[in-house]
Order: sequence, then C-alpha cells, then structure tokens
Amino acid sequence: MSTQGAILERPDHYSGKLELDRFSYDNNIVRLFATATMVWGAIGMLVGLLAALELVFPGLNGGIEYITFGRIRPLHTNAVIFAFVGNGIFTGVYYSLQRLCKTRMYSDALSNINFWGWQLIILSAVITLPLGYTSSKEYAELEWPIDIAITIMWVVFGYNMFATILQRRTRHLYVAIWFYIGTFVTVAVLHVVNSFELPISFMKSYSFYAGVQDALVQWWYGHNAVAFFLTTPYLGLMYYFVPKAANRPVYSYKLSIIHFWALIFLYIWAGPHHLLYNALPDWAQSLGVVFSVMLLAPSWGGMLNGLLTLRGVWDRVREEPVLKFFVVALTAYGMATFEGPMLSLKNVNAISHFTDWTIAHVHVGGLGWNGMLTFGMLYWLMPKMYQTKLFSTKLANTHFWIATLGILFYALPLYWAGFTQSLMWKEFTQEGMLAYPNFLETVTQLKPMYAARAFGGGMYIVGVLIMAYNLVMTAKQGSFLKNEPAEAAPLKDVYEKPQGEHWHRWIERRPVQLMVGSLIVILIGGMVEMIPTFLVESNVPTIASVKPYTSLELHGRDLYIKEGCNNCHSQMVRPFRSETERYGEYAKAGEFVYDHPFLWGSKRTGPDLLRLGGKYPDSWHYHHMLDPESMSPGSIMPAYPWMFENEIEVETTEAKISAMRSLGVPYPEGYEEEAVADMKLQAEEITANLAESGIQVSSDKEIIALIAYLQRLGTDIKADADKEVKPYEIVPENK
Amino acid sequence: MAASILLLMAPLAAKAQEAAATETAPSFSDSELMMGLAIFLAAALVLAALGLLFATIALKGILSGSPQAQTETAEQAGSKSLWQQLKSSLMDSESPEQEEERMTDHEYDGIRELDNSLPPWWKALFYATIVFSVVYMAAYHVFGWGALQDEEYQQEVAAAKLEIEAYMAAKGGALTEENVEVVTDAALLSEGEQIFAANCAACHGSELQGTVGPNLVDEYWLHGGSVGDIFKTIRDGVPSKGMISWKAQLSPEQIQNVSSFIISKAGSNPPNAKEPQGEVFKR
Repeated sequence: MSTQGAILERPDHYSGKLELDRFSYDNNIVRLFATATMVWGAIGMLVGLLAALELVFPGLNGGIEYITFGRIRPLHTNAVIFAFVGNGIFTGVYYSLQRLCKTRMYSDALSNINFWGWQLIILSAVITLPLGYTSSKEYAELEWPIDIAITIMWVVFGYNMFATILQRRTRHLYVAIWFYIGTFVTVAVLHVVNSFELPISFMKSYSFYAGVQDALVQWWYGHNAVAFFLTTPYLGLMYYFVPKAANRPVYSYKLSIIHFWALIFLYIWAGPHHLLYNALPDWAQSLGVVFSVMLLAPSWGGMLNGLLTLRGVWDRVREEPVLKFFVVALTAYGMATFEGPMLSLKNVNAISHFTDWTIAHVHVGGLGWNGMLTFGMLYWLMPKMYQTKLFSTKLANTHFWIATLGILFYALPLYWAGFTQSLMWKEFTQEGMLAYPNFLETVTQLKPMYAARAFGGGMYIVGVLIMAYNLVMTAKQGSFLKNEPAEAAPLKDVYEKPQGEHWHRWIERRPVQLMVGSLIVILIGGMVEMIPTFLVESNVPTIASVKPYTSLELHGRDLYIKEGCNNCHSQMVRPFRSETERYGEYAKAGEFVYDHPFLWGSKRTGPDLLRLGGKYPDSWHYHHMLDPESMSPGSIMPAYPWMFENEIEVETTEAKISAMRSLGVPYPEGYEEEAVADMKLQAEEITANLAESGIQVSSDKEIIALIAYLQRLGTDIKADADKEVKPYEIVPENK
Repeated sequence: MAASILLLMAPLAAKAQEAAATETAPSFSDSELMMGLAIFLAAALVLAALGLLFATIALKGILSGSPQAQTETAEQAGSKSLWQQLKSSLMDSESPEQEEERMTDHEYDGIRELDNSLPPWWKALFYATIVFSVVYMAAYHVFGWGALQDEEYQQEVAAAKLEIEAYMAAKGGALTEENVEVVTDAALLSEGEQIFAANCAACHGSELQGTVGPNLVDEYWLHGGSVGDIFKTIRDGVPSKGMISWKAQLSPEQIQNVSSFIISKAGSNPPNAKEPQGEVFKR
C-alpha cells in the first residue's frame, strides 16, 4: 500500500481488465489566468505605489480628480485582492483541480466565460472607481451592476468546479479541494449578504443596512474577504503546490482535518475585531476578540503542515527559488496570523486601530503570504506548461531577495509610524491637555516613514517586473502544451470500504455533503452575531434628537462617499479620554440609524470627523477644500477644486429621498416634491453665510452640499430643545 | 498566554480595588496601560522567538540527521537526552526516514499524506486559547467582573480628573480671565507669536490685519479688548461667529502668551487692514 505502484492497483479502480481512460488537461485556461495574474498584479501594485507617494507628495494628483488618494485607494485594494490574488486563485485552482480529480474541467466554455467575465469585472472596476462610483464599503466598493456581475461569475466558477468534481476519477477529495469548496460557498454568502443595496440610478445605490448593523455586516464581510479570499483558497493552493514542488508527503492528515474545520468555523466570527471600542454592542465586540484569539492555533496548523512538509528537503530550499518563495510565504502567514489575534485584544487594538499598524499588518499578509505564494506557484507552473526549464534561476533568486527586503522596508517603517502616531494621539500634559492637540503634528511626523514605505513597495514591484521578464523569456524558449495528455482508471461504481478507515474519509468522497457541511459551519458565527444586533432593540438604543439628513446634506454625504473621504477620515470617536478631549463626545449606536451606508472608516490619515459640525465656520471649509494648506499648513490632503465647478445633481434628489424612505428613513410622505425647494433654501443660507466672509459662490455647486453635510456631522446629539427648527429640517412624523 | 491572562485581569483587579476603596484612583492610567502592553508584547515576542528557535533546531536535527544517526538514537532509546525527550514530547512525529510507517494510503496526483499526530504543543496552544475565551466571556458578560467600554471610560476620566486636580493644587491654581496678566518678556511674546502664526493667522491674517476673522490691531473689539476678555474669547471661542474654542489645544499659559502678543501689536497699522468691527476699547 505504501508505494506508488500499489496505489494505482487499489481495488477502488478498475484496472487490468479495463482500458485506462485517456483525456487531457486544459492548460490554456491556466496560462490565461497566470498572465492576468501578472499583469493585474503589476498594475494593482503600481496604483498602490501612487497612493503611497500621494501621502508624501500631496500635490501628486496634479489637480486630477480621478487619481486622488480617496479614489485610487479602493482601486488599489480591489485590484490586488480581486485581480491579482483573484486571478492567482483561478490559476492555481484550474491547474490543480483537474489533476486532483483526474479529469479535464467540466466545460471549456464555462472556463473561458469565467476568465473573460472576471477580467471585464476588473476592467469595470478600473473605470468606475476613479470616476467616483463607490459604495464606500471596504473591499466591496463596486456598485450594484458590478456586484451582480460578480455574483454571476462566481456561480459560473462554482458550477464549473463542482461539475468537474462530480465527474472525477478519484474517490476522495484532497484537502486542497476542501478549501476550494469552503471558499466557494463562503464567498458567495459573504458577497450576496453584504451587497444588499437599493439602486437609485444606474451606478448609485444605498446599503440596505444602516449604522451599527451596516458596520457589523460590512466587517463580517471585510474580515472574511481576508479569510476566504486571501487565506482559504491560498491554503488550498499551498496544499497542492508545496508537496508537488518539494516532492514530499503532506506532514499530517489529522492536522489537515482539524485545521480546515476549525479555521472555517472560527474565522467567520472574528469580524467585530475591526470595530473594537466602536459603537458596537460590547458582547459582539467580545465575541470578535475571543474568536480571533482562538484562530491562532488553526491558522498555525496550516503553516505547520506546509513547513513540516518540507522536512527532509531543506537542502533543496537553499537552491530552488520556488521552495524559497514558499518558505517565506508560509512564514509570513505565520507572522500575520500571530499578529492578528494580538491586534484583536482590546488593549492592543486601542493603540493599533486607525493607525498605519493595520496597514503594515495586512501587507505582511498580502505581500508575504499571497504575493510570495503566487510567485512560487508561477515559477513552478510556467516551465511545466512550456515544457522547459526556468529561463534564469539567478533572476528568480534576485526577485526573491528584492521582494523579501521590499516587504521589510515596507512594513517596518509603518509599524514605527503606527506606534508613534498612536502614542502622540494619547499623550497628555500634566495640566490634562493633549500634548499634540493639532492632529496635523501627528501626521507630519510620519512623512519620512511614508517615504520609506513607498521605497519598500517600489522594491517589491521591481521584483514583480523581473519575474514577468523571466517568465516571458521562459515561455519564449519553450513550447506551450495546450492540452496535456493524461490517463487514469475509471472509478468502480461501488466503493469497498477498507478496514480501519479514518472516519473523515466518509465526507471526503461526498462533495455535496462537504459543501453543505461547510456552509452550515460558516453560517453559525454570522447568524449568532447578526440576528440579535438586528432584532434586539437594546443593542441600538434610540436617540430622540437624531433626525434624517436634509436633501442638501444627503447630496453632500454622497459626495463625501464619491470622493472616498472615508478612506482617510473616520467618523467614530472611541470612548477614550484622548479622543473625547480631541473630538468631543464619543459615538453612540443610536446616532447612526439613518446612515445608509455607515461611514465609520478604518484609518485616520486625517482627523476623525464625527463631531466636525459647527466646529469651524462655513468659510473655513470653503477655503480648506479649495486649498487645504491655506487653513492647515503642512496638510497632506489634496485640494478639491472640481467641487467648486461641478453642480449638484438635483435630478437625483427625488430618487434619493424615496430610496431612503424605502429603507426605513422616516421622511414625511410626499417629501420628494419639497426636497428640491428645501435644498435651495438651505444652500442659499450657506452662500449668504459665505458672502459675509467675502466669498461669492453660486448655491448650486457641489461644495455647498459638502459644507452642509460637514456642518451637520455629529450635531444631532448636541441639539438643544430650544433651538429654532429651520424650515428645511426634517421632522419625522410622530415616530 | 499567561501574560495575556494577566493583562486581561488588570481591569478586574482595578475594579476590585475600586470596590475596596472608592475614593482612590480606580483605573489604570495610560502609562500603566502602555507598560502592560510593552510587557505583554515583549513576552509574546520572546515566546515567538523561542518557538521559532525550537522549530529551527528541531527541523535542523530532523533534517540533517543521517539514517545511521537516527537508528542509533532509536537503539539508545533508553538513554534519550533531555533535548530529545522534549522534542519528541513536543512534536510526536516520525523522522522522515521512518515515515513510511506513518504513511496513509492516500494519493492525489502523486501527493501522499503522512498520518503524523497533531503536535502536542500545538494542541496545548489551541486548548489554552479556548480556555482563555471561555474565561474572557464569562468574566465580562456573565459575572460582570470586568469593566465594559462605557464604564472603562468613566473610570479613565475620573482618574484623570483626580490627577489633574492634584497637580493644579500643587501648582497653586490655574490661570483664568480673572487673574491673567499681560506678559512683556520677549521670550514669552515670541512664543505667543509662533502660536499665532500656527493657529490664528489663517483667519486673522499674518499681520493681524483681519481676513476671515476681525482685525486685531485696531481699537475696535467685538468681545472686549482687555487681556482677560481676549483670554476668554480664545479659550471659549465664539462658535456662532466661527471662532473656535482653543482650550483643548492651547494651555492657559499659551493663551496668555498669545493674548499678550496680540496686545503688543496694537496700533501696528498693517497694509490691507480689515474695517473696524465692534466697540472702541482703550487700554
């Protein structure tokens, strides 16, 4: 039983009497996805470099609205997650699945639809995100028509994968395929639930959820995008490519079983650790903490199974670039999954959250785990499919070192930056005053670190370009094997269970049960956290003075979303003395009930804006948006001159109001008709105000709506009862 | 893990203290928090480093050992070194040379699987995190031993208040609009000038001539021109007119210096001066 030959003659397969089935593997689809991985990887990372440089040179966008930090940050994250890693997943799955199932993909047509459809989705992201079409929800920024396209493509992929599994010539599913199945079902659930939104026009929608609930759903999604898009499929790839490249058996089958089920069960609960000390109910936060801590061992299970598979071949690790990339990938995975649980402890998170520490953390995972594993996989795959040797081992080694150093140069300055900034935010003088009351001081301090980070990122990109050259040259010197011939014995109809079989083998030969099983396992965590938050009123206590936005403020809010302000500004004052002193009263769950979507943010490159309303005069905002440095010398915020030219889209007002009402915001019946008149009233009040400060501006410009929104921010809970109610304010009918 | 459990207990201990003596500072301050964190991180790093060191040595031992050496150690099973005992109790795996004994009959595209046990240290880690989680949830949400975030905030603010009061009492009271005086010391005025340039010039003009905000060098004042009035206006602001409150950003001494600087520039008659607003105030 222990040798290869014996395995082929297992009683499970017809052999001897029957002919072997002859078929071929589709390498062409693998090559397409591999090429897309490289191309989009380079593009996505270059966009990231541009974003990084904009923090050092704020004028770098050259006054062009399409490439401000706020608009290209989502482009960078979407491109590297869904275009680089996404195509990387498809490359590895399409290659390994056929071989692990001993069959060609179920349908070449579906494979090709999957490929071209996915590239079109990415292309639409590249076009729409810079244009400002965004839902504002992180890693789910794409607007509703693209969301639908993603759903369709994901189903195409899943159908093709599952049909392939069902026609396999092997009895049992290898652990890599468990991870592929878990990935497929979970990503489907995450994407569909988080994308519930009400369209108001072709490229604009409002999130179905509001405030606290929207935040919980978003970070349940956001965290599990990391878990089920960046982690589980890549663990599957790791389980195929590491033993293949090392030519070693997987270290422990038992470990595979326990870490697979534990990982997918525990991961789904961990989302609330993105909302620690936010206005989320305490019990949900605590669940986020403990499930993150419990994730440590299952995550390390994957790392161990990968690293220990290399036992006995460490001498080859020194020589073979592919194995080197895999070792660094697994080590980075181990580091990131150790750091994750630590960052989820509330007292550590109190320091790390909203700072560059988080950015450093995700890049150890992204550049280290996903990047290095992808590179190793490509260096292994391409020569195989082109039936040749790698063009240059030396260049691959150069790539390895430049990428490894690049990760260090990227991450270390940002760890330093995060820690520095957080300490500055929290420092008090003996008189009880903030030691750095001007937020800007804590930003200008970081500029050298931002420059060093851009340098590290630049190194990493140079590595990718070297790889692209190396692989193109490899392709040139080889000849591509489009359809790789293969043969395998067909399966017997009846399975004869051997004595003493491990219990888990049962589900390994039942793909449908495996899928249903993983679906049940991943649904539990999300349901336990979401259902009470939606249904139990005490989780979001009502505040009577909180009113819906006026039509002008609603327009302003949509502009805030369009410009991606939430990428640099949070709207979440945490219950810390250092934050209430700096910003004002800490955030309460009831303040956000009309916020479709929520805009709490996850990073403070600029100060928190929750209590901005009334803090500065209208003229301050006017000058600040036109030239931030005029009001805040040294600011790294870009200028927004186009908001002074563009006019507010009055024609969408009606649709906005009625969509909000459908979502439960209590605008009075028939308010749509008054909304435009009210908007003009409020806008003219602001222009009159500006005129007093010597500013002449027409009341139909975007800047007026933005000022209205900024001046409204966080003011509801300070409202005193005696204040006169302005005619354009919304008074909900006896609610 | 031990470190994190200790850290977890810190607020609990603080609460216990509070129950014992309500008047003493009940919570841990920021610096204690930082210290706790530093100790925790250091412990975590040491643990991680030890783990890595162990893994490296273990791997190196497993990998570099020749088959003969392995057989010898197997023969000398009775006299295993402490290190080998530790290693086997932590890993519980077969060496690559003996792994055929632990090979499963699984085969997928040439990939085979060993049936090594779960590493005992890994299992211990997993159990420890589960215990931690149960204790954590019980402590905060069943027994209510730990302070949740609103309560934690109240404690933090109360502790700070006591500290500040003690400091102010020792210092002999704070500057207010009642007791503030114009300073004439050149160093203090120059500090005032810098504060003005950084914070005030954006609205009042770099020459105090007035732009968005009023002219500060003429004799006309909207909210009074005495040093006490200016001090109060800067500290509390006039939100309705767009003048923000600076009390969170400037200390009373800094407000005194900048007020004195403004007074020192009276009558400087800069170009492009804004028209007078308010009432005449003569010093």
